[in-house]
Amino acid sequence: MYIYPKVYDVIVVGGGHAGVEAALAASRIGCEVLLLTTNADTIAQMSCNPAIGGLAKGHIVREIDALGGEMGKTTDMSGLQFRMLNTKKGPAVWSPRAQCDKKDYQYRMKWICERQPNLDIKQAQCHKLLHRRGTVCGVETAMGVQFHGETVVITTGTFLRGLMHIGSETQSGGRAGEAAASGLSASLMEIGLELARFKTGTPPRLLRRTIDFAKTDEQPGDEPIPYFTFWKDQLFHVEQDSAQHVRANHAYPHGSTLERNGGQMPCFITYTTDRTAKIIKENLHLSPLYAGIIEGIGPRYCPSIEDKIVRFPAKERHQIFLEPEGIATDEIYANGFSTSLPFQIQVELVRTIVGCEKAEIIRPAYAVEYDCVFPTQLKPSLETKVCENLFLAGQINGTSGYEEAAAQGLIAGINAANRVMHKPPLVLKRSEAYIGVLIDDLVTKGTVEPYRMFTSRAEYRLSLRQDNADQRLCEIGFQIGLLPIRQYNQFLAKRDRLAAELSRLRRVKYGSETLDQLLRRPEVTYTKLPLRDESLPSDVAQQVEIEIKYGGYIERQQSEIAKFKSFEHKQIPISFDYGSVPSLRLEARQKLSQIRPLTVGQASRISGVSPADISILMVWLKRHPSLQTVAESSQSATEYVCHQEETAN
Amino acid sequence: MMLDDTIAAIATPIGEGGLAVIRLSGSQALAVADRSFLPVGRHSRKPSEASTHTILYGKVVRDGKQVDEVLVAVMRAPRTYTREDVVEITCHGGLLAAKAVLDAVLANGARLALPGEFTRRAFLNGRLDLAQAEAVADLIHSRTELALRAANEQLAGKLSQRINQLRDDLMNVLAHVEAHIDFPDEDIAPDTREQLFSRLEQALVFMDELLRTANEGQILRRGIRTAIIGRPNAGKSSLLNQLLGRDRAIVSPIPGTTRDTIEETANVRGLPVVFIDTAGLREAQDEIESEGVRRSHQSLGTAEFILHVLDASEPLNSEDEKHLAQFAGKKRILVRNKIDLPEQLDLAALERCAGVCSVERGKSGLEPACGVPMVGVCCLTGKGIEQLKDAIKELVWSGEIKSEMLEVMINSRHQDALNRARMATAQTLDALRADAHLDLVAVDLRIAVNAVGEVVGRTTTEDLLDSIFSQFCIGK
Repeated sequence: MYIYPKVYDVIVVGGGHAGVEAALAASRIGCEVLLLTTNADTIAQMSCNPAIGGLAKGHIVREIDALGGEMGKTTDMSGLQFRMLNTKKGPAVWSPRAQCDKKDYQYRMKWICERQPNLDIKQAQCHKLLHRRGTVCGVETAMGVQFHGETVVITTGTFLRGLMHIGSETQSGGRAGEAAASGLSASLMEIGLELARFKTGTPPRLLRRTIDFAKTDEQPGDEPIPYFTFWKDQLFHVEQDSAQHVRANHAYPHGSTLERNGGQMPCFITYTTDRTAKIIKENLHLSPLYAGIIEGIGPRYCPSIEDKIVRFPAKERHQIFLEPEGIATDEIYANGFSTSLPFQIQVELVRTIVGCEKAEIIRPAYAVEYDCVFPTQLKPSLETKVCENLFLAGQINGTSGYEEAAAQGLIAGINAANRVMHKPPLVLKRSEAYIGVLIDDLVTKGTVEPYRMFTSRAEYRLSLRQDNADQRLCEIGFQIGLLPIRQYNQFLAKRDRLAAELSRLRRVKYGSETLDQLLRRPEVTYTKLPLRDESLPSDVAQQVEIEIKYGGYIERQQSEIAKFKSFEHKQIPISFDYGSVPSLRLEARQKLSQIRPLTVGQASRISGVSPADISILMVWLKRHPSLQTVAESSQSATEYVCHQEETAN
Repeated sequence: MMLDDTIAAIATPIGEGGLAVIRLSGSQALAVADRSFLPVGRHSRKPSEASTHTILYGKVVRDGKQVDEVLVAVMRAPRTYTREDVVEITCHGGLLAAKAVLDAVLANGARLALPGEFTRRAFLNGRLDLAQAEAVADLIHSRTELALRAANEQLAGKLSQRINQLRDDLMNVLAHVEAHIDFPDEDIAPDTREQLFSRLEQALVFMDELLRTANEGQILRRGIRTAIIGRPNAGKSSLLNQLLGRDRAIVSPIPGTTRDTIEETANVRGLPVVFIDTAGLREAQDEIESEGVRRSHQSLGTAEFILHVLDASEPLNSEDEKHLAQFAGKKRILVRNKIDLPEQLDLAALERCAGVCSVERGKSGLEPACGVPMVGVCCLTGKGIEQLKDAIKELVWSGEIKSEMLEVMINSRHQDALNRARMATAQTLDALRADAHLDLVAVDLRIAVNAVGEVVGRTTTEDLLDSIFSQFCIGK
């Protein structure tokens, strides 16, 4: 056995979307970080669709960007088609989406990690956790090498006992062509974590020249391009060229996929036919899902094509998106067509799609089952309750999606760094960010299927917009030492400009009305507003307009929530003995004991805990004033966040 | 409030009755019963040794002395009303006997229960949901048969069924709106604005139906507060006695006999009516009377309904006219008392003053448009009292009492929640009409769903996602 001589502050196991954000965040904050990956060529690999964003997910990417994460910038550099979704609806639910060049994305992210000071990348398979007296202290690789570190972040995605299915063929692995991680599951169980088994799937990749795109509808990208990052000057390298040297033909970021391709690429929309349904019905017994071979639970929002046909028999055709996987490859991703039927059926099935009558499959579709950890075993900091200094992030926590994974990776990386520096953890609130909603849902409610973010999960939806993610989170990003001062100053300037203009509009009158009253009218936009500030940057003008037009609704939403949440921040002592409350129903007592909510608000969101249980809990907490003082001392996390909020205000 | 001590109270109404029941509940209920009870006979035993849901015969003793001869029902947790150990002691009726038994158990370690504490424990221990707990309170406090039936229906969960139906309907509309928002790229066809429109309008009609039962529910629960007013010696107390069917108030020909306000509940055609007999409204002759007059004014403030007693044997005086004007804004009936004596009241003047519509003039129904209803009575003989009762019922209870209404009679908490839901639904419709963005439409719709959910204690997000995924084929 060999013990690596360097002792790390943070060891990140897994180089996927959660892993890279965790490693980058912790090293940027100033920790010595090790990133362990089973294959350095697949760092930040997009195992499924090479797309980032979409409803609620786009919001998350903007939040990651505002906090100082990397996902937004890499998407902008490697995107080949950009769209802003939902622009016919209100700005709260607008959401950016990009189709990326799979290889460009992954290699840029790899290069960012390689160039990051304090971050070592090593290719090795981690198969065991090292821990002492309930605290993690390092990892051991399959080759018997030990790496010692103060904290460990596990982001192994679908690789824990990954099992791929194509028809009745099964193969161990986390992704086509890659081996599964087998030892780590046992190690996680050994420290006392309970594992669940989930399932997800991916559709076939087709060869471009075998598809007749004339039979499909072309879906072009949006112009001007809705980039993800708030820090566009970084993208366009203004710091090197200085503003006046940005040439007119410099339409795309230097070195970006768009620049190399000379513009955006379209995606295509097509449909299944009744023959698709017929073949599926005839061969359903060959689907491992329906034959009972797959035990894992799949997501309802991302069903396989056989699921769609069975569950919605009345639907005549199903929509399929044909999306390029890159600018330098002819692989086409058949979005909406994931299946685990045998290869020979897939060949026949693909050719029932309009335009794909002669399509050739390059890579078959498959389903993958994997181990994940019930996320209710985590604290809101993403540290495990059973083992100190051990953090989990990403798909291992039962989520799906690159964005959900990256968001957790970022928070786990920040909190591992905070632990090393003896700082309290960062816990974002549900009212602050989709990331707050995501983690609170996971650690409080758990999940029974792979968890995906939807805007409908956010009760503060009108405030949690993609356009104001910087206003919500830059202060926090800077305080934790992640967002660089340069970006922070840009944020401050924008914030001041916004505040000044809002106050001017409230003050200045046009006729009998103030300008803000005028702007509140549905037909008036900022560009049509009399006495408008012509010099106001368009992003600030947009924010001004939204703040004023949405104002009444945002207030209504806040007061509605406030009514229910008067007890939101009432603390419950961490050692509270739910067994001592005889009147709690058995189910509630079990759930509460298991999840150990920190506040009554968190307790009220646990499924299986009824309003009556909450009343009983409140009565009990009131009865024992001695508990209150204990509760007060365990408040540091909230205080930390509150402090941040005060500074932000 | 303490939850782990043992409480006791007399569970039957205070008053004369053949039997009375003293109920004990709590972890020490059996121990307290052991200390208070002496088993008699071969088959009897100590309560703590008895099996659950059995009855024991014996004596209640205190300091070695027999207090009463009793039957003791032993019910062990959790299959009891409060889900705690419960002991019910059936003793001889009458206030003294019951009080003596209660004192005995209190002396042996029980604490006197607060009003409603047994039900509160049942609720806190998860035996009843909130709507059911409220129904129990209504059941206990129901003043008439009708109210009793309404409370029983609620206890059976009929209200919850209706509310759940309403919530499902609204949730369904919300699912369509959210599907529009969250899945713009999907090939799904959620309802159009027009379709959502008609479904929301149906929900509004449904809420209105439920809300209409609220006033009736209020009346059934706590009775309608009815003040009997009139100048001194008009016969207010005699009228009260007639309506109650017994001599409750002291009656004398001396003006100012009634010094204090008296409250009594009577059953009028199935409705609980709380009659408030006020001291005659006049310049008081002494300090006691003036306090009585002050209280009269106070209870007049809380009254929802006025019986204005006029003396038909005397002409209208300025005091009467003043009262007629003063209560013009309230729901009222003019009661012409002493119709057995020669008529001195100038009906023309009265009609000028109050727009009276007399019942005696042969009109069967009382149409509100024609003014203030008037009934003639003689409190000495009871003549006209039945007509007066009809008139009261007609005025406070609009229309027939339908049995399906009783199933869903809502209380003020439900009313409050439903009113908020109704307002939010109306705002949702306005927003849809104004072509507002769907994310804004969703704000009000969620408020509506949450408000309805409050009545039955359910939350939104997971139910919403279930609803979306069961209706739409989502999945790129």
